[in-house]
Amino acid sequence: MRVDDVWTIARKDLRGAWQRRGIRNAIVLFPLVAAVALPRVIVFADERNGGLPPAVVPGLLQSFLFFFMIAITTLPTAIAAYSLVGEKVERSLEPMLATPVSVSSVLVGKMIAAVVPTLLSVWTASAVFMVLANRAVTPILGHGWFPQPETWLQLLVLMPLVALMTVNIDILVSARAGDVRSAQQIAGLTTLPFGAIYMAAEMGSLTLDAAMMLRMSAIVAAVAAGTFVVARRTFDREEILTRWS
Amino acid sequence: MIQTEALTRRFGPVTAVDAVTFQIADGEVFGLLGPNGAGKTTTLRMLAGLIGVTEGRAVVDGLDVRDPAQAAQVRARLGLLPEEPGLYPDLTVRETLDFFARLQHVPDRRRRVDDLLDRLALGERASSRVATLSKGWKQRLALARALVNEPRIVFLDEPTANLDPEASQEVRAIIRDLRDRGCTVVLNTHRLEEVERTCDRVGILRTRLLAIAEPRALRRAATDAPATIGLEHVDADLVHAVAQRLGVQPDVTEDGLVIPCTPSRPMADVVAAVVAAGGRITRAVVAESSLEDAYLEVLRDAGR
Ligand SMILES: Nc1ncnc2c1ncn2[C@@H]1O[C@H](COP(=O)(O)OP(=O)(O)OP(=O)(O)O)[C@@H](O)[C@H]1O
Ligand SMILES: [Mg+2]
Repeated sequence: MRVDDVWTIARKDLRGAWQRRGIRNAIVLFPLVAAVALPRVIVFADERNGGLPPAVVPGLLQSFLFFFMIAITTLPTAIAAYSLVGEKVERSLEPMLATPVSVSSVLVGKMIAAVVPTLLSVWTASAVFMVLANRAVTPILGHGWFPQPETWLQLLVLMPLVALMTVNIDILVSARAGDVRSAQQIAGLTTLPFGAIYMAAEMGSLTLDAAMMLRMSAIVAAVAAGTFVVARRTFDREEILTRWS
Repeated sequence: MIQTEALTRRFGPVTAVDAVTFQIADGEVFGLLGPNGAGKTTTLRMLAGLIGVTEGRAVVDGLDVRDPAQAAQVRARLGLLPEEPGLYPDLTVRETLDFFARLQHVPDRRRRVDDLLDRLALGERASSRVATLSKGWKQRLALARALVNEPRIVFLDEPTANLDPEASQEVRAIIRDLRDRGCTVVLNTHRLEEVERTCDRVGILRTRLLAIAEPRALRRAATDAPATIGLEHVDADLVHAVAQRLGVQPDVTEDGLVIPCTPSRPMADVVAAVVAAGGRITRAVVAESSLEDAYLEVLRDAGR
């Protein structure tokens, strides 16, 4: 694996994905809209209910921040659908594999292209959300609430791990899927568990505290490692040329 | 030099390439001719170190393609035009070449890209998106991409398939230019006229290598090229007399005879015999056997 090759490939995929309006909108707008809208929900709820009880605020904020996990599982898939399935459909992997570039470089370049914009976008949106949420809850609590220890765990540990896991699953799906749409649909299943956790937290049947973040991170790390091993095996020169079709 | 020994590739139960042995000299343009599913692409991919070899071996420029490290060196030295152009629709022509020049670690990238744009007459479309190019332009760009590392060995998998005659001609001109520059070219095709126009030697492949020859020798090897003799008047006596002299029964047509020529019965003898038998000749044509006949004959013989 060579760093310059990884960068060459990542850069091409990043530019290509960025040129697609659908992907660009998903990366920029989806998390930002959530970042602005979710704090409004708090303000709205506070006004309607004659003041939110301070006790419910932490749970609400934790679950709202967890909403961004949904972006973490969908954005890499949007990019990978373009950079992996797109290449498969165009049959553009063969010329690239006919160069001396190592498949690890290709794989890592594509992973970076999917993971880096996702994290940058979601981290930015999370920051915006936390600032706005702090402002929204200050009248209730008398002070802001973010960041908490579990916030750092979610942003810096769980989110990168989930993004990596999603990309690995995308690679596995891309190897089999015949077109962009079905790849997106199948890979979209990764969103489900996080959507379910979000709902559970929202309804108060689950607390997204630091211990919970660590437990989830451990599970996701195991799945990410497992899927990486399989993805690495799927992403093999011969395998791509003879089976990916 | 490219050398294979009993090169074999199986996909599960299917044998795609079976014990193929050949040698290609430096600077030679070698055609691999065969019907669909003959194993042409599989052979090229093995030679390019892209897929594994089941049995036998292949050495390209002194490097054994079975060894992954040597295969990577082979890929650095060769240019490959795959069966499908496989271009990125969103990149421009220049960006495409630049991307591959980076992957090939080409020094002085900008100049190399400019050279290629110039050499393959792609300059005027340098900033066009690939998606907007016609098939002919795309194929020329795919060729330029294959040449980005200035390879001495170039593999072309059906370079003129799906191109109109004009675009095909442009591609053939590029192949001749490669030959003039001393490149070794292996060209897959199922188009006979392509082999005839561009190749020094041709191997006929159908899982096994059925024959190897120069296109002209192959054509000559086709037997029984028929001579058509036009006559003022044909009658049974004449036919009988000619048959006796030549020892072969002529086919009678409306205005003459059709008599097979062979190396032992050349056109001159056929004409002399007809004249001696009293025939008054209006025209005499020997239809040179086409490469197609030769090709079909090789395939037929192999099928027996
Ligand atoms: N990845 C694969 N898996 C299974 N069988 C394969 C694979 N690739 C090729 N084959 C089989 O190997 C044989 C040779 O295929 P190949 O593509 O090399 O032929 P070809 O001469 O290039 O044909 P065409 O003119 O259609 O391009 C065919 O029978 C094909 O079905
Ligand atoms: Mg082929």
